[in-house]
This record gives sequence, structure tokens and C-alpha cells, in this order.
Amino acid sequence: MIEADLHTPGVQKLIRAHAVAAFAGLLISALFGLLVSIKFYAPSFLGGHAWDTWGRLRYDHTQGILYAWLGNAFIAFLYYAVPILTRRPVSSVRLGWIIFWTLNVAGVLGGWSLVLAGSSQPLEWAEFPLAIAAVIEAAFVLLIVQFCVPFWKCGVAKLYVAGWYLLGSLIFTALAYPVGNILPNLLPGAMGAAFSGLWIHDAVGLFVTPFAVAIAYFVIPVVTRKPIYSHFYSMIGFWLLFLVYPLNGIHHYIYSSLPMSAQHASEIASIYQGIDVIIIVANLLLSISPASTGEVARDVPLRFIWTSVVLYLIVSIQGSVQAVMVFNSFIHFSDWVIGHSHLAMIGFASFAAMGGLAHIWQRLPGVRSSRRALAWSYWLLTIGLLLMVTDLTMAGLVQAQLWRQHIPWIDSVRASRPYWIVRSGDGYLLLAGFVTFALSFFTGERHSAPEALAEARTETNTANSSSGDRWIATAYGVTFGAGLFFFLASFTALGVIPALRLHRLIERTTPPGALIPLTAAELRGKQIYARDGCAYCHTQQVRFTRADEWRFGAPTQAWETQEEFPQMWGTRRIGPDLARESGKRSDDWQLVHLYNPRFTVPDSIMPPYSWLFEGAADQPTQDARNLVAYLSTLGRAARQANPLAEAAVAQLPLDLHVCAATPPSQSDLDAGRAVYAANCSGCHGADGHGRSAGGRALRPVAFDLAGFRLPADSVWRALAQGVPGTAMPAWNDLPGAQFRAVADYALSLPRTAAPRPEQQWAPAPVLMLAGKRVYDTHCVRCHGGNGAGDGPEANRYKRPPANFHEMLVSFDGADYAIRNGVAGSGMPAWPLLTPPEIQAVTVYLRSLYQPGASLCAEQASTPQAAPEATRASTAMTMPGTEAAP
Amino acid sequence: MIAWILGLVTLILLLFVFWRNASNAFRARSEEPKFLFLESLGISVSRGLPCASNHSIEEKQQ
Repeated sequence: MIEADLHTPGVQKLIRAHAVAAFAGLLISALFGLLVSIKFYAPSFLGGHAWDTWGRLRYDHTQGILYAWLGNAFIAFLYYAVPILTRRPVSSVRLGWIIFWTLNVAGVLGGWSLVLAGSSQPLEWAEFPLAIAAVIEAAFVLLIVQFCVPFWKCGVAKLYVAGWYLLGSLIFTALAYPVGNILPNLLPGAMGAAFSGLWIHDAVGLFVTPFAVAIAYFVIPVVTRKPIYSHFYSMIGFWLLFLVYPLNGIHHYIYSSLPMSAQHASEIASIYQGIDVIIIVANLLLSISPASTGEVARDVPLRFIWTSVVLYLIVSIQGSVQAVMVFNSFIHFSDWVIGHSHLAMIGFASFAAMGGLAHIWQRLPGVRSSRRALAWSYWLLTIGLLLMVTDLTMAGLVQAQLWRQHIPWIDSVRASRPYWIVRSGDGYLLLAGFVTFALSFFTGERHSAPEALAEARTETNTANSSSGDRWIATAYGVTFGAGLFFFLASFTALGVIPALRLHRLIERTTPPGALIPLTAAELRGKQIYARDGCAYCHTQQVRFTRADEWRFGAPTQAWETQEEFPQMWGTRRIGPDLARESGKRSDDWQLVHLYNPRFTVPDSIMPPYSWLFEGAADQPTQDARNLVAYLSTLGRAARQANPLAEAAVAQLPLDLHVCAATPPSQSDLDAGRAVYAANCSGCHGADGHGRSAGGRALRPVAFDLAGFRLPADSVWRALAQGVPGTAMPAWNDLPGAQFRAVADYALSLPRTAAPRPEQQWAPAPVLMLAGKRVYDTHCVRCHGGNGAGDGPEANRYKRPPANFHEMLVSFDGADYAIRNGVAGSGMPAWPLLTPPEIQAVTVYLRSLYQPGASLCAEQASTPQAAPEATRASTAMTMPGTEAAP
Repeated sequence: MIAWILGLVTLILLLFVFWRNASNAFRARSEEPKFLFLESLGISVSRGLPCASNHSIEEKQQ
């Protein structure tokens, strides 16, 4: 069906070049995606280098799919379809090669390389750096020159619907692209998010969808040799798509601080969009079935397209439902959405592109094609996709459910692991399908000559136009113009107006003195955070939902984000939200966690950022320090604005359970051991001595739970509130039963029995006297004359010296601490003390222990009612007493 | 504003639907491109089937 006068050899070469670039782009982008998926359960896989870290590969995965694969596939289709639809040749073959090299070398290869080298934007679907964004925008403008001239010459009165979709996509994409790629760099935080949201949806709705639908409208009638069901309703679907799609964007930021009117508008537009898709899909399916089912079975490209149309309906209805606020509050940020996006980009867009490419390839002269390989690729891809989407949807439901429960975040990561492993398996299937698809274009029989040339329609379809045609041309032209107007209106309604309202709101609500400009180091840290894709796992927006407020704290207000250029709100949570990270953890915890997340969180799947260190967790480079400095600013403004909330946390009453005299049962201890192993062993070590790699890298080093017995209330407070001045975070998100179990287990760890007589260097009274002499010589200045940690030099240290009235020292623990010191605290090593002296001073320290000195007795005599005001202001609930959100 | 935009969009499309229902000529012309498309590729098609709208045109003409 190649027509020699329209598809000159030069154009055919362009089609082949873009098709080959599309295959390469597909395979490389899919490989990026597979590597990314493996890192979910093997985070150190291929690790150790900046260029292959999760975030950078993730950026290249999506940008590659959008431009290298779909972009090239669609352009190849344009070179084939536009001359047929318009009966005019494209503008210039030379221009075609300029577009090819601009898009593929400067755009795709340049973008991929720069992202891997650390130059990128943390913006969904706009990850290539600004210079590359400018190149791609230039390519879009050149595409308009290349393809819109034939449309212009042809006229629109009798333009077939596929041509309308191609025309619309070319123009609207060029208009929408700068909205998401450039504006968020100029507008901060919430205001920038409004525009990011528009592009996230326009990339799919105005670039990908029209091309895919155009392919369906082109290929179906050609293969079935029957006209489509209704051209009129195909045009209704076309207008509705272009007029309504741009209004959907903000549904990516529902329950955020964007104006609620804009959120509701996007919700309604999303539902409206679903109606449009029903019209389009019904028209397409009625064009195929039931008379043409034989063609679907025989013609593999048509089979791809039929599947694409069916999945388009499913994914669109799914998208409309996801935008409904009640449902969105549940599944947003979870793998449900990732399943949805893969269904859209593979099941709908890629299947259509594959069908279109295979259809035109079979009509090119002198190339090979293998129907068998193509059929194999169809089944591999269909099975792989369905398994992946099912798997991710289930993972999303599990995650969403766990996020609403009062359990640590890491539990949702643990529960997701099996689903992520299965997802990679599905990824292998998909990659195999893509390889087979590409092979089908280079194996099989060679097409010796073009098929019989079509009986070309003369170029008179506009010449013999009647007045009725002119009316239709005018009406369609006006409606297309209205589409441009509505695009600008959507830009105004969902971008400009919310931004203006936010600007006024920010001016009105910013607390004086709350915003502290970022220092140079913090700004540098922010750049590292952005380039390595941290925002793609950790959102920076606490939504206005009960589950978010309980877990992360007060919702993110618009005024807090006014210094964020660009915003990094994120659309996915693999790790916890970081909008309230400031003050939660110590800098050394952050550094150790960056060096190797498993050092502090045993089941973490965060990739290690070891290239930010000089070989060890306690040897960070300036970049690592800068990144931690930036992390400490997240939520700082909110803390500055409401310091009372933090102070109120310390007022939480003591849970009297911990003072109970009844010892825990063995089953309680077993349960506590499991909780300990999952959450505490990273720092405190499996045996509780705190001598693990992570624990030793902290400053001060992790507490030796096995070497020192603490009173129950101290353990409880450390768990409930963290330990200020150390890396110990609060564990108040543990469910009540787990909280109690791990507290009981921690209390059971110390091995504080006295040494057997044969192990003693001297009789107890002698050791006692010698120990007091050692203590008075070396320890008294910090620990005080009576051992209460109140010596004259105690105030020099951020953490007060140990109070031996409340702490029972074990011989093993004391020996280790005295010989090695406690790095990061004021306790130095005492290498000159002999073993008998160490044993003696330990005997003396143990004599200072007063079991009744804890707060348990004190609190037991007072009423336990928690002030309601305190609870409300801290948005924190007592472990074990919380209500489900 | 969004409500106005959605309302205008709906109005414009309803105008097209009313126009199509009121005018046989418009109905025929609005379906014409799908036939021309196939004819331009050398595929001869019956202008009666399978489009539902052509059914109704023929019925009205009878």
C-alpha cells in the first residue's frame, strides 16, 4: 500500500530510521525499567555508582518510553499516514532527518546521558534537564512544520478522523510541553505543582492518546476493509478528548494544599473524560465486531490494536475512578497507580504503537517481517502485562491498607516485597516480548516489492467542495480553534488562577520568621536530592487525610512550599513522606542510613549512596553532609511556626503497663524478639550490644541494651519519643501489642548477673574499695560524686552522663565501654585501666543502682489522663490506644 | 470557571449532534471522510453499511 509518489524512497528511509530508533528506545527503556524493578528487592544490585542508582535509571525509564520509543514510533507512523490522509507529501525529507537527529541524538541520547551524569529535573514526565527540554520542544515545533503543511493544503472538510487526531496531537503537544517542563522551575511549590499536574496528564492525554487512537482509526478500516462505524461520533470523541483532557491534571494532587475548587474541577473533568472514552471505544469496537473478528484473529497488528482499544476503555474508567476523592485518599501513592500507568503506557499506548508500526512495516518494500515472531510477541506481552498489572494492583491495595493502620512504614515495604519480586518476573516476560517484537521486523520473508499501488484518489477532494463542505470545514475549523482556546482556558483555570489564589493565600498565612532561606550547603543538598530521584520514593507533601496526619504530622500548607523551585511533592511513596523530617532523626543517623540503609533499617530497600562517602559511614563527603543538611530543612518552617507541638510530645503520659510487676511470658518475649529483629537490630545488633556496623557508625554509638539495664519507664520513653541527642527515633507508630512486646524484650536483654566467685579478681569488699578509688579518680568529674550523672563537667555534653542510680551495669558492658569509650558521647576510652580495676569499678557502679529510682513509682501514684489539648496539638496518639483513621 | 468550560464544551458538541439530526446533508457529509479514506487506498466500500447512521439515512430516504 506504499504509494510511490507520496512515500518516496527518502520518506521510506525516514520511516525505517524512526522505526529502528523506536525498537532501540523500547528495548533500552524497558531494560532501565527492569533494572529499576530489581532494585526494589535487591537494592544494592549494580550499586555503588552514582550513574546506575535507582533514581537516575527511573528517570531514564519513563523519558525513554515517552520519547525514544513512543515518540519515534508515532513519527514513523506520521510519515506513513499523513501523505495518505492528505494526499500530499510531507514538507521536506531533509527536514525529516533534522528532526530525526535532533530528537534521537540531542534529545534522547543527550537526555539519557545527562540524567545518568546527574543533570535532571525532579518532575514527573519531565525528567530531562531544561536544555534537553528545549531541544525536544524544538523537535515538536519542527514536526508541526513537517506535517501540518500537508494538512493545511488538504483542507479539513473531508479530513478523516485519524488526521484530526494527528493534527491535534502535534499542535497541542507543542503547546503543553513547556507547561510541565519549564513553568515549574519558575513557580515555586504548590503553584508549580499545579502546572506539573497539567503536564503529567497532558503527556498522556495530548501526546500519547491521540496518536494511539489515530493508529486505531487508521488501521482498523484498512485491515477490515470496512469503514468505521460512525465518523461523526469519532469526531465527537475527538473534540471531547481535546477539550476535556487538559482539565484533568490536578487530580494528581488531590488532598493537597492546592485550592479545593481546582481539585474538584479535575475530579469532575476526569469523570467526564471517562464518558468520552466510552464513546471512542464503542465506536472503534463497533467498527471491528462482530463481522470482522476473523481479521482480528488473522492480522496480528490488528490484534495488537484491538487489545489496545479494549485496554484503553479499562484504563480510562480506572483513571476516572481513581480521581474520585474518596477512592483517591485510599490508593494514591501506592503501586495501584503504577499498575494503572503501566496498563496505560504498555497496554494502551505501546500496543497501539506496535500495531501501527507492524502494520506499516508490512507495507514497506524491501524489508523483512515475521508474522510468527510478531504473534509470539503479542502473547508474551499480553500475558506479561496482565500479570504485572494484577500484581501491582494487589500490591497497591495491600500498601494502601497497611498505610491506614497504625504500624511502622517499613511493614508496608516488607509486605510489598513478594509483589515486587513477581513484578520483575513479569518484567522479564515483557522484555522478552519486546525483543521478540523487534526481531519480527528483521526476520522472516523479505518483501520483494510494494503491494499493488492503491488506486489513488485525486487531489480534488477539496476542489469539488460544495457549500455544505465549506460549512463543515468552517464548523470544524472553529471548533479546532475553540480547542486551542479551551487549552488556554484550562491553563488559566487549573494553572494561572490557582497560582494566583495560592499567591494571595501564601501572603496571608506565612507566619513571620518561619521561613529561613536555605544555605548554600542546603541548596547543594537539594540539588543532589533532586538529581538522584529521592522525590520519586519519598513524597514531600502530607495530605489532608487522617492517615497522613496521624503518620506524618500536620498537613503541608501552601506557604511552606514557597521556596521550592521546582516542587518535589512526588506522586509515589515507597519510603515514608519526608515533609516533616526536620528534627526527627539525628544527622549521623541520616549519614549512616545514606551510606547503607540496611545498617539502621534492616529491611530497608533504599539504595546505598556509598559514593557520597570515602569508604565508611563515618567518613562522609561534603555532598553527603549537604544532602543531610537539606533533609534537616524539610518541615523546618512548620516547626518554626509551631514549636509548641514538639514540646507537647514530651508531655505524653507514661504507659503504666511498663511498670507492671508481672514478668512477660515467653510468648510475649518471642513476639518482642521478632519486632526487635525487624526494627531494632540494625543499630542495636542482633544480640543487643549495639556493636553492629550501623550501630558503631552512629554518634553516639547505639546503646548497649544487653550491657546495661535501664528502668522500664526509660525504655518506654525512648521508644515512644526517641532519645534527643542520639539517633534513636520515636517508635510510636508500632501497634500497641508490638510496642509492649519489644519494650519487654529490650528489658529482658541485659545480662547483668554478678561474676562467679572464681572469675573475681578479689573478694567483693576489696573490689568495692578499689572500685570507689578508681571511680573517684577517673569518673567523678562527669558522673558526679554519688553517680547520678551530675558531675561538674556534665553540662559540657549534649547527652548527660549516665546516671548509675537508674542504670544497672553488667560486667561485660562496662568492660567494653571502659576499654573502647562511647564514641560520640563524652565517655573516653580508658586503655590504661587494668582488668582488675575495671572489674572493681564495675562492682562499685552496680552498688549505686537504686531499682526504685524510676518514674514508675512516681507516675503510678498520679492520675493517668492525657490532656486532650496536648494530643490534638501533637497529632500523636499513645501507642496501643489509637483509633483507626 | 471549570463549570463554564465544561458547559461550553457540552453545548458545542450538542450543537453538532442537533445539526446532524436535523440535516440529512450534514449527516451524509459528516460520514463522507471514512468512505473517502478507504477509497483513496483503493478499497471499494458500500456506503450503506456498516455505519448505523447510514441505516437511518436510507430509512428516511425510503
